[in-house]
Amino acid sequence: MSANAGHTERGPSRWPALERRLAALPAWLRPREAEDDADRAHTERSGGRRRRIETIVLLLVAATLCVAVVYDVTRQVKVSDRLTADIETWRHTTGISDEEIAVEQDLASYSTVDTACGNLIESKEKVSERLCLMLKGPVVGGRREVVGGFYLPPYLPLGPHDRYGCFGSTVSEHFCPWAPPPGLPSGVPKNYHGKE
Amino acid sequence: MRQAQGTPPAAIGLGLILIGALGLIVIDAAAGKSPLLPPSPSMSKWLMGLGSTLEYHLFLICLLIFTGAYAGLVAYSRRVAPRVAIALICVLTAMVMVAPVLISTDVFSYIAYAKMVGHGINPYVHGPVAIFNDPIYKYVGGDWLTATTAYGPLYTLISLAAAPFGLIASVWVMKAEALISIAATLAFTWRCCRQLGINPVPGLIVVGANPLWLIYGFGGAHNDLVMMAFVMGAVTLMLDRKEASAGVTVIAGTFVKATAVALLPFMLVSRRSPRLLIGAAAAAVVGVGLGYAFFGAHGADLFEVLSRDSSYVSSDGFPTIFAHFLGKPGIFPIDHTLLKGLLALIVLYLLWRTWRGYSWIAASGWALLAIAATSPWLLAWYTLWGLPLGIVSRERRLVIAVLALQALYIVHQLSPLFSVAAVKV
Repeated sequence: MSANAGHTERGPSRWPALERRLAALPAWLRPREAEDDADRAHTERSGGRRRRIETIVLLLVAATLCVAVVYDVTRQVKVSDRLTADIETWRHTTGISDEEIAVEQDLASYSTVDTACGNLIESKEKVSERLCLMLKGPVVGGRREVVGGFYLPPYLPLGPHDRYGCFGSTVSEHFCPWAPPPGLPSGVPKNYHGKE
Repeated sequence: MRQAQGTPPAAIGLGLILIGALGLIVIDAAAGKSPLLPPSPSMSKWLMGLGSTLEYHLFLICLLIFTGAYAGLVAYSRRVAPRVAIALICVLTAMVMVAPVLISTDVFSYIAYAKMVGHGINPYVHGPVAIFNDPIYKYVGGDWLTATTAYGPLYTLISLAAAPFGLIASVWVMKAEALISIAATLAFTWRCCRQLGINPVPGLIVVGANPLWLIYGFGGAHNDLVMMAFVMGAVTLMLDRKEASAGVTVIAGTFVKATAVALLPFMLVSRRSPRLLIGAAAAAVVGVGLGYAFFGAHGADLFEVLSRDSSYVSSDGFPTIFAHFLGKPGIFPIDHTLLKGLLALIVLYLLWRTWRGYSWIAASGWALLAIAATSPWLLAWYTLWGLPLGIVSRERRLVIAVLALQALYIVHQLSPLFSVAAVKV
């Protein structure tokens, strides 16, 4: 295959006035019907060099993209494994095997502190209060360290004004602006071993 | 029959592997409830019960097998008999045709926009949420419920064919539309190859059996296939020296999806033909007029949509991947500006090369590839754009570059294979 398919693709130009003006341009600026027009020896020399440079640039771009893609796949695998460990940690800490645990990554400062929130009642029919755990550190034995947490009343998304019952690091970070609403669950989960 | 006997047995074996891997995907997809299937009306009931739910791991393994067999078949493609190649492409395409909608919800957005027109609502002003009572609404992707259509008025008018039908029938209409577009694109590619004295069989296999073309592009009935039919139609007309018609066709493609306009500057620089210019200008006037008549000022403004869409970011976009590699969390507004600048430089260089005799078809293909590679919003089917142009221009580097970009895209999908996450959750 050749990039120089110009001859077979082109028909005669059909704008004579324009072509006459273009023919008056300096040779380096003049349009060509195909890459191997004009001084053949010169064109082959410069064209071959240009083609080599283009190919080298393309290879460099391809190599960079290859490395970047492999790096990104590795990064994705690490993030997936971390999120799996977050879910496993939530289930272990609460003793509840909720299937709808949502894990949010820290997209504000891009730390690896995740927030895993799950329902405290295992029933798809019943709306439940949610317990959120803050997790950080490396994955050890398929789990991560719980450094704190808070509760959310039913029907509400993960909003800063709705948090209550903070424990661990969330207390000092003032995650919970108000006291626990009466009648709603709060307190430290049964397998939580961090600071209260 | 004699031609079929000339095909190497290894090539026939690779073709059978393609059919087997795709068959597994289709049969398991028909079982429904897969993370790879958008919520979709039940379309392939006759295939239900043959397979089990399409798991991510199985899909990726089948995709890898399919891609490996495709690479092998491409290597053999010069020795494959035309009838065998055509039969293989027909079988693979028919298999995806009968499958449920794969991977993307876009086709439901296309139908929703068509039905909005049927309801007298302008899809260039309102999103599908305006027809929340219509049965199609619940299948539109969550991110696109309030998004106005990103496609040209010609495509909106073409997709009106689906508007009068019920839910399932309208999806079949869109699939049929994609099928016709595939047939047209492959026929145009074949014809261009014949006209240029190129063996058309490798081109047919490279494009027609391409995994991203078939599984992602046709699997989701994407309108990029319709745009590609217009693009290759324009190339065919240019080779036939019918410049005015080529100008009309490329602009018609632009009014399907604005990306097609990338060909026009290369056509003009190469041919410098008044007929081409007049054809394109007349089609643009008619297209803008039609868009305005049917959909008002928003329907006539393709660049408004381009501007909006260029601000989107997808995790599969190569700029995002490169940003991660540089330790950045993602790409920022300044990166969008830099990428646009880089794309402009590439296009200017390609225009200069075309001016100095480089193939305008190859230059157009490079430009389309550059648009896909520098776009922060990259979807699998965007990587298809340059492929038929690479085949027809005989620019081996372009074909290799497109296939390499597609290979990288596929590799980027593979992280679930290496993660414990998909196993445990």
